[in-house]
Amino acid sequence: MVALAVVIVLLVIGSLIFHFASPWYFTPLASNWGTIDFTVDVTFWVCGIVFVAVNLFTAYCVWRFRARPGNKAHYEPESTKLEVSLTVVTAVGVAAMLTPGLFVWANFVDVPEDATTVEVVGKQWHWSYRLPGADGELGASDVRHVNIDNPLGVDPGDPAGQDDIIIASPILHLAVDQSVRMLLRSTDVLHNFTVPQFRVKMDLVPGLVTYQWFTPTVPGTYEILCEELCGTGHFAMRGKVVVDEQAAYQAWLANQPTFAETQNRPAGNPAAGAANYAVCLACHGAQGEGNQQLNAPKLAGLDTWYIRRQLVNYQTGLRGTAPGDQFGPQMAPMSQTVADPTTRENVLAYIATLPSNPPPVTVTGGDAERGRALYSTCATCHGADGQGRWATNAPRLAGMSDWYLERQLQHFKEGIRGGHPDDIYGDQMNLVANVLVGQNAIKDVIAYINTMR
Amino acid sequence: MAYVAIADRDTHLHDPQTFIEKYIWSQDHKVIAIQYGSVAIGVGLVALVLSLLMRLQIGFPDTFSFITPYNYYQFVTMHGMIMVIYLLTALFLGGFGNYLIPLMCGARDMVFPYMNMLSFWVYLLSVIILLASFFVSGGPTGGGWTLYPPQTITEGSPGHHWGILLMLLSLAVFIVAFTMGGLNYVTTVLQARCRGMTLMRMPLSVWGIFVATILGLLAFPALLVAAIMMILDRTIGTSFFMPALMSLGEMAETDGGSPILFQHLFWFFGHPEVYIVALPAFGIVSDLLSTHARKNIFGYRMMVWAIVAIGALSFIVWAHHMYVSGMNPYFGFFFATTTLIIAIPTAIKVYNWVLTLWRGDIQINVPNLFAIGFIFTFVHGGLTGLFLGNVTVDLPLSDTYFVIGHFHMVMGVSPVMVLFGAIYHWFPKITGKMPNEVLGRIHFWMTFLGTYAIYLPMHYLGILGLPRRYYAYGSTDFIPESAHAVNEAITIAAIVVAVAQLIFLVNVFYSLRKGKTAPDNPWGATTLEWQTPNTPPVHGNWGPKLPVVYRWAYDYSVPGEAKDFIPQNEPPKGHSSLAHG
Amino acid sequence: MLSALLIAMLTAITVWWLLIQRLKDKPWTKQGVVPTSQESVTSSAPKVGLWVFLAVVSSLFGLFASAYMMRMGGHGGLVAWQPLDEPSVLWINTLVLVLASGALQVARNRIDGDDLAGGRSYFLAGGVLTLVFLAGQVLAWQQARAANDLGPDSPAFAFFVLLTAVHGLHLIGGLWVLGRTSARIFRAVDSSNVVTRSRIRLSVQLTTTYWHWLLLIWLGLFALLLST
Repeated sequence: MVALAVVIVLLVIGSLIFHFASPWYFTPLASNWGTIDFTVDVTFWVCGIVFVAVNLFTAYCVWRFRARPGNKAHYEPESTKLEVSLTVVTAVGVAAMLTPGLFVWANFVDVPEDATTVEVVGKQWHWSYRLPGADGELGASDVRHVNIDNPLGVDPGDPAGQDDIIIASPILHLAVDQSVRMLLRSTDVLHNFTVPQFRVKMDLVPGLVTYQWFTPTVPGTYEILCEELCGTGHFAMRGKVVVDEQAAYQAWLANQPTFAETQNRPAGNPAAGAANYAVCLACHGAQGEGNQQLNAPKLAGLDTWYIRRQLVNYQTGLRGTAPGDQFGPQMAPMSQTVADPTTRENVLAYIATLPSNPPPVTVTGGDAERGRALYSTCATCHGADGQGRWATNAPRLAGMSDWYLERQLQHFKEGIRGGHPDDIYGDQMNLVANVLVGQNAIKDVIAYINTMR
Repeated sequence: MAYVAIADRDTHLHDPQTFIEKYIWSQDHKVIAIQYGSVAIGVGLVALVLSLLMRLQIGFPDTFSFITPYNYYQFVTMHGMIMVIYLLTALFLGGFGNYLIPLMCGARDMVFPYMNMLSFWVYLLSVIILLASFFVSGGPTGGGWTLYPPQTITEGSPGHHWGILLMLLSLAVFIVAFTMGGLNYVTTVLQARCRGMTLMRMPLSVWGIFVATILGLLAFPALLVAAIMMILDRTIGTSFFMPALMSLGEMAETDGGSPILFQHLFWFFGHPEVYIVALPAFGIVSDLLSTHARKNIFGYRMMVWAIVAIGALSFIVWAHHMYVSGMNPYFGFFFATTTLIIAIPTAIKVYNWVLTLWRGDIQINVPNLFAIGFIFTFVHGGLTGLFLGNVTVDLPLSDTYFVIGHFHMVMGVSPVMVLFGAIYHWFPKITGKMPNEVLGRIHFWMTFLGTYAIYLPMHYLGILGLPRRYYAYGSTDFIPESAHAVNEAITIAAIVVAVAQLIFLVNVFYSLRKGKTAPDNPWGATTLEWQTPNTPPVHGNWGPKLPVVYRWAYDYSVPGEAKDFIPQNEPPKGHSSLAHG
Repeated sequence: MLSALLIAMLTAITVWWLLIQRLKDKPWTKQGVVPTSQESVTSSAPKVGLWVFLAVVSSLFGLFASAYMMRMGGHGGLVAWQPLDEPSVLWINTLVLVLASGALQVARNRIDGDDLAGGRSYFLAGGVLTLVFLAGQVLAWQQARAANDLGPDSPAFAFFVLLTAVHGLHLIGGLWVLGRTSARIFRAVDSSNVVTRSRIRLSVQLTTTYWHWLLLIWLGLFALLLST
């Protein structure tokens, strides 16, 4: 029992040392919610004192009253006075913690008048946003309106929604020192919008609009984490909040499309695109069939939205700039030849007309049966048949250049692709590609994908 | 007297004839208790292995090819559900409730022995259904143990097809089993106590189990309601919990359902469930501390009132699990207040445990080590509950590793400390053999220190902001390299704790075969189960005559007495027991 | 919130009951046999067991009812609740269930007075009326479906079927017991075995109590359905 008493004392001391010395504590606060940190501190002090007092007293009792010959326990059924006073002390401690808590909560529940509105829309493993346009209000929305061109489900018939600003990518900019009311909406399952540095969080619930508010106070880039289990890809549902000074924020805002603009994108003209495709043709082939010698993957059969995103990534340096990437830098200047949106849409329209024939199998030595098990993770986004899925931003895999897939998986694992801080989709693949553990895992999974042509 | 006639009839009826009647289709509460306990510990070992797999992934990400995100979420879900329902609830109530209630109340058996037997077999069926989900297409559900719709029944979650159905079915079957057992426990306590055993003379173990059973009987229906409605949503496309939604690009045909409604139902069950596990632990540890400190439990009346008060309050705190769920945020004020109020009776219990040690004669043995270890772990887990119960503090900490650390300390480690203490304490009575003291101490130290090494750092990872239920963290800016090192250390500690549980199993089997024969009352305890004429007690428990109780359960170290304990059935001096026979 | 009220009520009753059991005793101050009321009442354990079970059943229906009200209220989010036109056959069903309960009560009174032969036909009639009630409920489903043109995705219809089905399942469980008890009555009607007769009396009492309670629950459910 002496040992137990000593250990309890050591555990108490150790816990205190751990508390004060550990480097793992709140991230530096970047919002107005200092009051939350204050409430946590109060709670730590009250609970800490009780923790130390009760355990040290226990240790003392265990040591002092350990069984020894001739000892006899004291007989004392109860002491009303002692119990009542302990109850009162406890009640005081509880009130000390609860009172600030309720006041801060009252503040959290009540959004300030001057807060601007940002709508956050979560769907399985992706964040996007909507800001009110010039009219200052958000248009109606419904999940039934969601489609590939209207991922947020804005009601096309609502005039109030036409000038809403659509941010389809998971990166949101906010102005520093401007309070934000976040309206939270989900189109599928529960999610939770959390930025640890802001301290607050709230679930997104399909069928409801929930809210939270905060004022970002420190410029910088902060990661958004989904903190409500939302399916297999939960851990890869990431986004970013960039807190800008006012001028930079306005500059960013000016570049974002309105809902009307996203709906009125001119359709590409394949005939016009054929001419522009000549640049691509040199490497990717006349039929977009790809050319392994020139390290050019097959394009025919790829989803237009996916090629568009990759072109933009090359153009803006999200892709093809990483150290160790041999082939990306070749593509980066080529992508600039279609930098003009009209040209780009024309080329994309032309590529969409090319016939997709399965290319020859070039990756050998994989075990398709093992690959099938590994592919279950991929299937979550890319689909069980490898056809890709716009809803999860996952391109088609079946019937595409297998040697290219192999290299990309390798690059994703090593962070050569997807390592750019603004490449959220690439980051998802970085996280997921690490499921492929071991020498042959990539070859195995590709062997399985090759069975789905 | 009618009383004697009934007793005689019982002895006669309780005579099993064959091996099968005695050990398989047994209606003896003690055998049923052992059956419940063995199955619960068996399925608990499965959950322990699942937790190790999870820890391997978190400690050493990108290392094990057999742990994919899909599997990982299945492990998370099954680990949680098995531990909470199929291990802790079943072991405390089905195991210890069954064993202790009749013996401690001085009854021959439960009042409905046949239903009691059915309860076990239905429980076993629920376990089999649960484990079957590992073998169906898609595997078990990976929706988290809270089973929140819509994700558990939409395509993006593991086991959304068959796994979730089997899980819900298994829960429904479990609830049937629990209800059959629970009716027995409550009715036995109310109706079958022996002469002289007033409610206020009952040991706190019985009080804890009794109130926990009432909570279970009233709370499990909420889970049943939720399970039935989700089964219908999943199978015939009703919209109880399902709003209009688009799952992975496909529009579902549901509309208008409320995911939050499920959460209310789930936690209306889920929070009392915490106390369904905790109250028996509170009761049992009170008896362990009192017996092994050779001192009456301090403030017995206050302890009883606290159990009743906690039980009653536990029904009006459920939504503290939902502060950030998107429910009406104004509920936060009410539930934060009720939640922090519940801390007061809980704190009183802690004070009284420590005051029981105060001026005691504290014995050195394994049950007592676990009991005192429980005080430490429970103080820790209880205090961190004040963080999460306070709505404002919950904002940054909800859904982080702080929550994992908290609930494992308070409803994982603490009840398990009591369970082990209780197993070592009653092992001599249950088996007739003494458990091995050395192995028991090794088991205690590894478990006690190992679990603290696991869960203390988790709180700080949570404060840092590490979200729970993440398969991998990748490169997240605010998570320093050192946090990953902590995760490795936690995993190693978890392996140590798992090994300790193997030592426990070795001890059980070794002591069963080679242990010293146990005397009738090795600890010098006052309660009735130690006063049986046989060890282990035979079917019917008491021989020809039921015991008569003359005093409360805590007459330890009574001044002026030669022995430092007086059994409950020992008549006062100068009192002839025959006069009342 | 209704469920919270219900539970609060049950808890209050429990607490009250415990308090009158002298929870204020200081048990260490008195030794010796304190007379308890438990000594000669072992035979009423089944009654206590039944009441505990009825508390569980009430909790189940209370929770179903509160789920119904929450789903109907603000929890549905953006979609308005479409109420259901309750089929008129429910009124007849209710009357039938009242009659069933009444028949059982007559049976109980007679069998309590040791008149097995006089009670058995009423007892059986209670069972038959209950079967009629169940058939009527199935009819009500069809009428509701036809009258409202609603599919399984209509929450009002789904709740209607669910609540009545769960209630019906409880009655079916009761019918099984009722059937067994009837068989025993018919076997024992000429027997003079005191134990058998007292057991039959107990079974009939329990069955009747169970029926009355399920009638009350049905009246509650019916009121809830009508009011929405």
